[in-house]
Amino acid sequence: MIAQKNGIKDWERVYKQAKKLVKAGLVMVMLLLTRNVGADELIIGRDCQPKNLQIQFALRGYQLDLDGNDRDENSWGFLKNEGNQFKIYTYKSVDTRELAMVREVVNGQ
Amino acid sequence: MKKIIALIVVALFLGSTAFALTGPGIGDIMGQGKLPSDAHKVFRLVRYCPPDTTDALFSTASSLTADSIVIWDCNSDDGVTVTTTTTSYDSAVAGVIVGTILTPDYGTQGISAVDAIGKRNWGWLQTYGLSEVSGMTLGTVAVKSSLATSSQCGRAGSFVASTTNPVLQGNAGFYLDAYTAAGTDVQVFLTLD
Repeated sequence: MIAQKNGIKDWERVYKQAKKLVKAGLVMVMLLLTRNVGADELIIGRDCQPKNLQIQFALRGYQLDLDGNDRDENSWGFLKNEGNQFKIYTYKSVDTRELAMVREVVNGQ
Repeated sequence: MKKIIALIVVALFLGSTAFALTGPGIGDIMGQGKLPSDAHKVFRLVRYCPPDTTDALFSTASSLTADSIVIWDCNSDDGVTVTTTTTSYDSAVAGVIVGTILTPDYGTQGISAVDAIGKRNWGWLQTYGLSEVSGMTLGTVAVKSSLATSSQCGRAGSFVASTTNPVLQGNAGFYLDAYTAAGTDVQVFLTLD
């Protein structure tokens, strides 16, 4: 009888621990998903000097790679030069402040 | 038993992490497709010119406000300049402006975008993805209606294809929200890029 009671207590403890772990797991998954927002594409219909752009972005605190393969943990996006236009692919959704910054940099080129 | 539960939870963590790593924005962003389910937007840097470029109107034209629906300017003819219209279902529909764009500097505006690089009348046009528009001051629009320009400058209406006029075929996307008169920040999905 006592052994049976102890067995039930063990199960309750395991169940409570499992519930805690599942809750922690859900929180972690939600945190991962919040980082997993959409990338955006900014099309600029004129030519540019990529290295100058990269420097200007860096001065404003944004790491713009000149190739998608250059990406590291600090990358904000990368530039694709298509000759008569260029595209900036960001690694997360851009906000209005970032759009204003890109406009300012491009207009200064 | 504890070990089994712990292993299951660890497997769940790893599975969810792997899923997150292959999602948009974390990895293969070039090949993420363009489905309405993708949180993905396309913006273009464009130049704004008011519809009538005579000097008198130029100097009094107002700024282009955020959430305005605009068309490509057929006078500048450069694929970079946008303007407003009062034509419903205009086939030249370009997209939705995401932030205020100022009017051109009076007296310094060239004919095409090349003449006006670096001027103040440049801003961002959204051509693809989830966005918001200002609706017409009259009428209602149902959810899932097609999106188009309207007879009111900068305001969006619903689209019904003309069976006779090829100039009136401008479908810009669809509404994710229904709205009644003068809806603001009406959610839409643009499909122009």
